[in-house]
Amino acid sequence: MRMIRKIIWLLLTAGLLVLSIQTASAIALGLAACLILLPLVLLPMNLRAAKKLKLTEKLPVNLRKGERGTAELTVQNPTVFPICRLSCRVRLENQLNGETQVVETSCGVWPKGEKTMKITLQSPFCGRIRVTVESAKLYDCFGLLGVKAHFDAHGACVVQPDTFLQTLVLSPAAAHIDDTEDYSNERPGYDLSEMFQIRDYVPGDSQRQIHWKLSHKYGKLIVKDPSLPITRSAAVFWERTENDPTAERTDAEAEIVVSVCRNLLSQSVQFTVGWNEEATGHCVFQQIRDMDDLIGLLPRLFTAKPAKGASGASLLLQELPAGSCSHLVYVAAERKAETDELANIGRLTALICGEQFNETDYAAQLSELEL
Amino acid sequence: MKKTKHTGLQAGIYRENTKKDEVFALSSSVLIFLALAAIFHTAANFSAILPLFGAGVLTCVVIALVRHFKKAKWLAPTLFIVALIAILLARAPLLRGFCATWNDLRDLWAAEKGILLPLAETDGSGLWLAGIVLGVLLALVSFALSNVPALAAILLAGLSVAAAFVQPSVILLFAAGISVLLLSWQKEKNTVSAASFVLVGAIVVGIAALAMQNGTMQSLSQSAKDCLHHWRFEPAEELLPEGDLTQPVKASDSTDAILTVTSGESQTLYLRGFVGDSYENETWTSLDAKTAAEEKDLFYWLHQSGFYPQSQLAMAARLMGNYQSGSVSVQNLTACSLYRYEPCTVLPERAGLAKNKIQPSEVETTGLRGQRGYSFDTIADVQTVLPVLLDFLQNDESGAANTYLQMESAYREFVYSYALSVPAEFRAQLGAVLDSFCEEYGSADSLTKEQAQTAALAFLERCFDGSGDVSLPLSDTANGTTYQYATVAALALRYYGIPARYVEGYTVSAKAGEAVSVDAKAAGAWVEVYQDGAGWLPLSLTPGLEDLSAEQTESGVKPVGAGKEGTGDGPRVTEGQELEQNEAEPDNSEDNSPEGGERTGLLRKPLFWVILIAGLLLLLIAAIVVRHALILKKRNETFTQEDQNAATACLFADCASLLAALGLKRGNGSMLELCEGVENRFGAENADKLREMTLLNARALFSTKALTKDERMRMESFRADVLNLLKTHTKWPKKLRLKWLSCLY
Repeated sequence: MRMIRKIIWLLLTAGLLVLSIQTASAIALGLAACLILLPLVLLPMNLRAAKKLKLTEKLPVNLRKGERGTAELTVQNPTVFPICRLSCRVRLENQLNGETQVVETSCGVWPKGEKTMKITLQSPFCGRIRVTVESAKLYDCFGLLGVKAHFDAHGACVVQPDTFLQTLVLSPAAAHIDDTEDYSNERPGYDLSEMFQIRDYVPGDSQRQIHWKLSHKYGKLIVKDPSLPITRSAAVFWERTENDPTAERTDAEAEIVVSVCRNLLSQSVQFTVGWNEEATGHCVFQQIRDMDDLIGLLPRLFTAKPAKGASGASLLLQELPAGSCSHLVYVAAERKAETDELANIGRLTALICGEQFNETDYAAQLSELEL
Repeated sequence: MKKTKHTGLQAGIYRENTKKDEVFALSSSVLIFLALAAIFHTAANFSAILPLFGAGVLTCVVIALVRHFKKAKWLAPTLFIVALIAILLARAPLLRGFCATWNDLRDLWAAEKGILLPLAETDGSGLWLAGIVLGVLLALVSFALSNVPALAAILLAGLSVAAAFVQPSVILLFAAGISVLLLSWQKEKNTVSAASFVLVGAIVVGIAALAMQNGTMQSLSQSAKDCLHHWRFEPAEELLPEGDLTQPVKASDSTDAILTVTSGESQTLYLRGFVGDSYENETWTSLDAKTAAEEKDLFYWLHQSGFYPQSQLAMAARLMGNYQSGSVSVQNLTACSLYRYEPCTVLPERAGLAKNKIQPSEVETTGLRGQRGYSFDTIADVQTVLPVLLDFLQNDESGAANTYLQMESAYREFVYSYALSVPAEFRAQLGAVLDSFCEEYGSADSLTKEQAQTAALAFLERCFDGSGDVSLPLSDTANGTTYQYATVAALALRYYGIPARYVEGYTVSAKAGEAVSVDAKAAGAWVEVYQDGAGWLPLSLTPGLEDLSAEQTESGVKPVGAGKEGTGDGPRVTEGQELEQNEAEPDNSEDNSPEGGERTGLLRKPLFWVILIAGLLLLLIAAIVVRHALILKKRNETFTQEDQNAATACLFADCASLLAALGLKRGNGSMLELCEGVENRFGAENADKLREMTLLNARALFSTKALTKDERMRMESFRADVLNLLKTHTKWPKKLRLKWLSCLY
């Protein structure tokens, strides 16, 4: 485009020179001179303004998948010279799946004024969209001579995953540690050593639940509900090492991870979320106690780029001792060699989005899950 | 907007359609319209400029309003209907108006470029209507161009420059200014950039206008044109002054070949280059294009009849039939290639003459660098043919000869209108001396041809007898040269009533079959006299004046001989001859009046109308086909876009249009309401499909979940089914309308 502008400028200048010869008009010559002089006059102004310009970014915090958002880049010109054309090359990157887009936008800014350039962004996949001004140049009226400007402006917004409802059944893992002292106040569980509530007997209740002492006292059958221990050493681990990641599969994996987390929280299960990072070569773990924790985790979780090299499973085996959690939900794109060994850490539920993985109905497939 | 690769992540420039944008769009289309109108006015000499401007600006405003109220889809049909009504109700005045527009264009192109176009028959009324229609058309073009300002800028600049070649006009600067403004304004309607340009532009243009006063700019422009002329046509320094005798003429003894001339016969060739028709301030200039264009009808008629001033002698000789033809080829090595160097005896076929161009004097070549090699046929024995030819023209009474004499008479009248003018400075300097040589016959205005020739011979002999007691023009710059002699002789002949002109070129003594190198010594100027009947002849060939021709000697120029002293037996053009020719002059007769309209009669020919109507129909069909292809292409792009949801929704919208064409319009309700109708007409299976696709469309529109490719394919298949239903359940006239006008498929 810039080359086209230069060609147009060249043809216009030549045309005006021809016109000035043909018509013997000083106005035509003046216009031609203006075409030549204006870029030269504006060059020092742009050089000065390039050092003074300020650019700020404003983005929506969250977006739903497929929802269109607007990023605002506001340029402030504190100088007394007009900026005829500020051209910015803006890079948008989904940090989760690595998708990128580059948008070129431009505007003019009056002296001592400010101007906002708006960019729309939309993603069908969840992730963290990082918006950075890759390069910026100040041009003259005709877009011929460019002066580079440096801006340290960037922003990000999170495209939230579409979580799905799941009936999550947590079976006690007899072989693993489950010695908690905290129980749920909201729903009954299976720990008969702690009572959740007492109530009248209804047909079908287990005989083991009958509170004989109280039944004798009130003259009717009273049963006691067992409690549900909420502090468990459950963990959700997302394997980020995969050979041929696709945006659709990464999106599905993220949705599964977040859905499982959300459904665990809905059962008042506190747990740990983890994933492996390529940059550090370690696993990242985060304790989730409530929904705020989960929401706060998402921006960080969605920067977990697909990794190469050692699998997350192997890192997990190195970093977590055997039997360190009761339940382990392992979400991965493909089965790793070390996957089966993860059963040593805790009761393993491996959700593998392998070759037979159907991106369209995984939510239905996972609507009932027993850990 | 530029994207590196297509991914699920989408980004773009946010565009708001604000009132400010609408005003910008309106102003840019108005500016483009004004520039186009200015160019059109300049290049076509269109005179009904007020209706054009009014209609154009109004159309721009209407388009802006239509866009504002989002009724753009009504614009094209409404305009089409209005145009149809206008054509039906006012076709006669509209046609007359366009004919008048054509005639305006014809006048301009004849005056500025010497191009002859046929005359359209019209009384000139209806021009205002043509102005309105053209204004509307230009406004529509402007509206389309306002969406692509860079293209508009380059188009306007190109058109301005092209129009400047037709007619240099200050109004074109306005168009050029707008084109530059559009470039700075850019697609983003960058007001800062445009305002900066306007501010700095005004300052620079103001300074330029003040610094470059008119004279300075004129001389600069002339210098540039001279440089360009030199670059294009003159590989070496040009010897001939091309009429400019204000500077000392160059004398060269160089023996380097300038031309190489090969002739089939031995003959003396006066290879005519520059021709000076009017003299002022020591400069000869060719006939002013505007003056020549006043006689465009004459030239149109002459050219249509095969009469060209450059080959008049040959045409007459052909009528007689008794002449010997020869061929000459010229290789122009270093001379100015703007001119074709041809003698007065050239035959018209390969003489570089064009039927549709006014060329009253010299023959100019075409192309960027002119033409350097050419050949032509000539009359080889002109010295012997000429007397016989004049006798033939005088005595022959055949129809062909009469036709020729009619044309010659009309052309002669034109020649006499300009080739007798003598500048006041020459009259003041030599008027008394010239009068003294004709005082025995009376005043210089009332001399017979014989008396005029005698007086001219005597005057020139006196001027160039070597005594130097007569003060002559050009003594400072061209003293003793053929240029001075030719100037003085031409003006003296004119003074005595003999049409004459100044010619520059090369005099070559060609030998049969031998390539002759022509050097600087052959360059010079001579006088050509209009010989009634035979056309323009060099002095040495002109009966009665042959002894007047200059002979270049080492010491300068001297006339040889003094003629026959008016004894009556010398000049072959006797008074009797002159009288007969005058009788042949049909100056006031109807036949001789060159009315281009009557002679072209193009509009009266049925074939013209058949071709015109067929052409218009073809144009219409082509437009419909192109429109159909474009609409389908655009639609297919929406169907195959990456966003499956959007593609599926577009497909379903198209299905809805197809169903509407089948009479199943949904109104404001759900498409599900149509299922019943579909079931009744096309069966339950189709109704089920419609139901399923309606739900799929709802998902495509409202679900944040992306649809799959398979789902899009299902919608495509549904569309194919509906299209098939449409094709099988409609009759062919409706089918044609739906396909080519509604562009449904």
